[in-house]
Amino acid sequence: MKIQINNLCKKYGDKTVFENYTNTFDFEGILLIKGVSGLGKTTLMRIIAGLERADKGEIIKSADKISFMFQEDRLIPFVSVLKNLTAVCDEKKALYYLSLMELENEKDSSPLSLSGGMRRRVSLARALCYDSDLVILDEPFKGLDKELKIKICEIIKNESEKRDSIIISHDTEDAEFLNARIVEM
Amino acid sequence: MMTSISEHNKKVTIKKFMKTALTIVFWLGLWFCAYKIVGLDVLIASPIDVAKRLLEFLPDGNFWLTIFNSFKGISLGYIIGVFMGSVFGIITAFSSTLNTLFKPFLTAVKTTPVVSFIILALVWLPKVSVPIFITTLMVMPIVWANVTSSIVNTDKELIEMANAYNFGFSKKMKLIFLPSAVPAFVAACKTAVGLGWKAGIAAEVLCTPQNSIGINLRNSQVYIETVDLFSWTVVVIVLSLILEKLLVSILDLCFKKVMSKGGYFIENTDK
Repeated sequence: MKIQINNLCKKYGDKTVFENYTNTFDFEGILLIKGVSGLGKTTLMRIIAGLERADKGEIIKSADKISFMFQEDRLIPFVSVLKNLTAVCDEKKALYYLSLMELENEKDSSPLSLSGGMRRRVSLARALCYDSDLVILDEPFKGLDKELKIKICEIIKNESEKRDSIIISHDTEDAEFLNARIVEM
Repeated sequence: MMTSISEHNKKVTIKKFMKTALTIVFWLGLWFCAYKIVGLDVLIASPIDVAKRLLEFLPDGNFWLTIFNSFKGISLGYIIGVFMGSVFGIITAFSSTLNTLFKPFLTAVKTTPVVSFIILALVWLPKVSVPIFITTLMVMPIVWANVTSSIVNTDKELIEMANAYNFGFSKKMKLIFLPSAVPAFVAACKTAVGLGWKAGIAAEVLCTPQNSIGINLRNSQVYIETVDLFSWTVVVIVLSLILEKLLVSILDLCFKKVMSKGGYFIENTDK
């Protein structure tokens, strides 16, 4: 996967997030973007995913369809866990990813009845079961304990054999679990 | 433990019943005192005479036909109002231009006294259609405004998620917009019941369609039949209460059925 960022500018009111930012991400497998809060990691990924527009500059990427896991779970509260997944893929695939996340027993539950960690896993399952060329995961391990985090890392590692992933994280330890290349912002 | 809970519930029910009964007795007493103090049957009818007249109404077939006719017209107006309010509510939620265009119309309907519309409707329409039109006109803006605002105020994060995963319009409607709007829609329908009923009866009083509650109220006023006037007013109040309870129960039932059939998790909210 190659993503070329040329002279990117982005401002929110008076706050400048990027001023002629130029970088190239050329990687295979998993790329972990690391850095303290407020550096613009999420903004950059949102621009790459097409969720936000840059004020100036260009992004050249070799991915057409991007799957984006948000920092918030953003599950549809009105429908079941399974319906949240079948909104982006077929039922067979949805059930497969739910079982990977050990959530098959919760398929008919309301997202509101799940714990924070469970909701995070449903959100991750949705991002993974969406048919895309690139997966962007923004803080996917938020609210997960270490044991669960290692399990999820294994799933993400296996998925990255099929398509490349970018993960935003504060934690260097995540890169070790994931065998990821680190880019510091 | 079971016995004490059921005994407690029984006590609560009796207490509630006593409170309601005392309230009714208090107001009837006050009415009777006012009747005695004024001492003129033309101004205030006796509650006993009104009760007698109501008992006379009950076996009369015309009384039930009158109620049916009023109920039919006002219900039709209510259903049209809810339907049109929902359709226009959805349309203006997605088009800010149309929303701006229709805003003055909604404001005019909300602020203009209902009697102005009734008089205008009398000029435009056959008198049998006036209560239907007026009820529609009163119900539609409530449903319209609630549907529009609930769709416009749908969780922006969910909409962004739907865009990120390329949801089509129908999927967005089915999974996000409509379930977000349903509680506000149901609340609007409930609010509109009482308003629609009152406006419909007011329209009947002014346009006097045959065999309607309105014409009976009007005749009572014209022929200074105060007992009849009070009796029909009691009928209107009782019917309004029954209609409100009935429609609210039907709406709740439909809401639960539709939601469970569609596999939605939505709690009904009385906004």
